[in-house]
Amino acid sequence: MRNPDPIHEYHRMVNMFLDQQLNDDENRQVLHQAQENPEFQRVLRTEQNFRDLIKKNVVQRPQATSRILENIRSKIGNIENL
Amino acid sequence: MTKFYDFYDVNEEERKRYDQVFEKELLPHINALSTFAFHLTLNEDDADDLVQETYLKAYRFIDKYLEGTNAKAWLFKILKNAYINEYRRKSKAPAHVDYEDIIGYQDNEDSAIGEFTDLREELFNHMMGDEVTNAINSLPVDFRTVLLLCDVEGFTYEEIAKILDVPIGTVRSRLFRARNELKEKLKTYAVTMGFTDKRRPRVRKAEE
Repeated sequence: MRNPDPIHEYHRMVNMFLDQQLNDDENRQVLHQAQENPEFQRVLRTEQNFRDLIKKNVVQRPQATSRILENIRSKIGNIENL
Repeated sequence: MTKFYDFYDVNEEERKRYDQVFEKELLPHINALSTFAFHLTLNEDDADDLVQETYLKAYRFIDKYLEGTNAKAWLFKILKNAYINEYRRKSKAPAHVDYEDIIGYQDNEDSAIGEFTDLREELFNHMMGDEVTNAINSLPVDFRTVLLLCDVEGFTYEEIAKILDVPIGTVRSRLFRARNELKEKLKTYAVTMGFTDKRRPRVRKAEE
């Protein structure tokens, strides 16, 4: 059941918006509501900051990949050369 | 010995094509897979093993992969299955399943909406990178998984549902719960670092 509270409903829409689950009209509506209502604008901005915080702080491991690549190619090569 | 895709039945030309597909469409996702594996296992060596196992399985079943389709999602699904099959079994200890979580997943499927945890904007100024990373890593693995797939890798709900073999409603529900739990952890951390919510009690209560 959906929450009738407008802020909660807007929060729900913002999540869908940031997850790219809305169609073009719904996207425009989310942005329009943020422009019209400072509290909605705050919800959108805070949620966007939260997502950025997650992305920025997830540990990436690019340094591990060259060694793994070598191992994978070697194991596949061993099979092929049998 | 592992039997690769009817390896001995394919001709040289087919084998070259499979190798090309492997190099051009599958291997470019190794960074994303490596990061995902690390956040599942929380151990560098296990993550490396998991990525290697994923690619060996992908190569083995490469004749099942349709060229030009969603290679990344296919690989993530293989990795997730490998993790469940091998690494959870290795750990011997059964994964902790909270009864409330089961009820939550099933009852909340499509609505997936309870109360949103609200973060104050000022709170972001109190966040240190390591603490955020620790908070993410301390989430239950099912929650961590959906957050990574959605917020870091940018998969759609539909793709995540296929990768995890769960209904879309469950993806939505897990995302909602994962984000709320992470926000609660960050709030707690910010308070310990001296952050105080200076809003009037009535406003604060209304948002909480």
